[in-house]
Amino acid sequence: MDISTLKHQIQANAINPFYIFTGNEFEVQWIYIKQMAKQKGQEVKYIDNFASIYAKLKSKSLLSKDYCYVLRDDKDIVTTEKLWAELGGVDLPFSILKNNTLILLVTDLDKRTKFYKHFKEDIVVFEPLPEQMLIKYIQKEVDLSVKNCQKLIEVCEGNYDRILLEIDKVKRYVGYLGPAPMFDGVFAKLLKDGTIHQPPKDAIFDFVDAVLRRDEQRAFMLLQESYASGEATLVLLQVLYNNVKQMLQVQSCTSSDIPKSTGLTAWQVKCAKERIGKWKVGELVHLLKDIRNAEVGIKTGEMEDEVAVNYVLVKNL
Amino acid sequence: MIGQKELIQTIKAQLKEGTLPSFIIFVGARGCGKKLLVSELFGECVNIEPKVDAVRDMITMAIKMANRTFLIADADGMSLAAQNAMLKVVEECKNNNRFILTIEDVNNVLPTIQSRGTVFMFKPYARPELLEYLSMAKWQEDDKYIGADVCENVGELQTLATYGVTKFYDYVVKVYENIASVSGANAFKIGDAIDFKGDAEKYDLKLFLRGFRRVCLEKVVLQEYELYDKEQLINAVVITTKYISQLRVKGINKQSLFDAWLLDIRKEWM
Repeated sequence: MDISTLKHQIQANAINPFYIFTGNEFEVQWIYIKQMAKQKGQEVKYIDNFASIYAKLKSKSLLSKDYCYVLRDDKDIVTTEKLWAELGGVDLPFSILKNNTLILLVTDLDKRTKFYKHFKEDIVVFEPLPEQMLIKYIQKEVDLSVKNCQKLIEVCEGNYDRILLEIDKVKRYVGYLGPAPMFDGVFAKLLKDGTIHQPPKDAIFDFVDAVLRRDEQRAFMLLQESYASGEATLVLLQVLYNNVKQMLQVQSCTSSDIPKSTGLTAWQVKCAKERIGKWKVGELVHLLKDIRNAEVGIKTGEMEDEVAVNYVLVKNL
Repeated sequence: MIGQKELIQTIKAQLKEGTLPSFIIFVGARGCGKKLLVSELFGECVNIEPKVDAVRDMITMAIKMANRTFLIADADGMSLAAQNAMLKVVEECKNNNRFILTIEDVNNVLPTIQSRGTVFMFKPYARPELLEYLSMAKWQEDDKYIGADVCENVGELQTLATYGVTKFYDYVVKVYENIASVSGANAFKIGDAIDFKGDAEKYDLKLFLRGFRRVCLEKVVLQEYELYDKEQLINAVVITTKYISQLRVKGINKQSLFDAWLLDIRKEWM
């Protein structure tokens, strides 16, 4: 089911008893959940598991209140086929839920499973919103120019949750400044001073640069960014090793024609020269050996992945 | 087939008695003669690639064929899926078929595979065995002794022969003479002639390190201490031996191993 179909169902008050929401746009999911509950006059209730309400749903009490139940990644529902018929959905008019609504939030939905095939029509995937729609939503919240909206979308990687968080920062800062604020000006300022977080494009290379410039704080921060963006420890160590070696070659070269003498490209020599002065040759040799020892340690099982890079940094920076 | 006399005797005796297992795992360094032994003892085999699709085809063939030997050679990089696929067929060998796996390191196959097979380890060749082969192959006298010191099996001797023994050894001697006197930048360029990524035209790292170790030992035996004293030479031998043993670690980065060796030797000799 696509989002526009869900929207029509809400507008027409023809909401089904059971839905499955998936995708990364959590904030948008909750907006729809609240809309659905409001349309049916229900209170939203977050539950830990389906078992906690099953008995209540099975009972025939006339006095029980109707809720819009929300739960995440419930294994019972996903794995118990007997439950699927009871939950109802698009194809089955009768449901154990009666006038209640149940929304199952699924983090990772495997399309090969029977569950997916059975409930295919009830699944709504909340993908990142298109840019035009995001600009419209942003401008509803703050008076930003289209260019700055696009910048904000880019910085937040199209994630509506993050956009709302950053908008909140802008609003608070504007509120602090007093009347007649210039949202665009404030946004530009917060972007420049780093209050609005911009993830580095190539965290791994910025990390290596920070290490070679001996910027400890930045190095550790960028190490975390690299891990957050999925970089493997061995890849980090390998890239760091190559750059340290290049710097060692350039720094210890006595010839005037460094590229010819070292076999490095002009660009590699230029990058190495920009970082000269922070490390002595002996220190670079130690750093090189420690990186290698960390790599060998991981491969032989003597060192854990998570501590390897930290070990190298703490020992050498 | 040179060497491995005990192994060959054992297998021949079991073949004669009809007690040879139907699933055999031959373990030995590259070039030690595993495939040669298989062809000498079992004749023509059905060669199977160490990939899951090929293994599944092998299962189908094994059901239809009888009295055949299926050989999966160089199976160190075999995926888990491929290894799991062959578990049942090797456990319940039917139709008098035989399955043979050749690998360099027994730890590269699952314990479940190891437990279903009989492992035969190839021993390193003794120096007299290598010299015997080199005499048969009519190597020159000096080259024979270099070959026997630097190589551990016939495969490595053949690799050394493709380099040209004299050319290879002259290069190693040149490295020995200059490694401590050149600048740091030039020292790293020594690695340009060494193979780190499967380039057949460059020198194998293991052979190079063993060659370097031989040069240092030769200087000690001949008491040639013009460049470095006895203690420096012996320390260099110890350092080089340490790095040679690290080459056995699976997935080891050869480039960084070489760099580390280079830095240690220069530190010792400068």
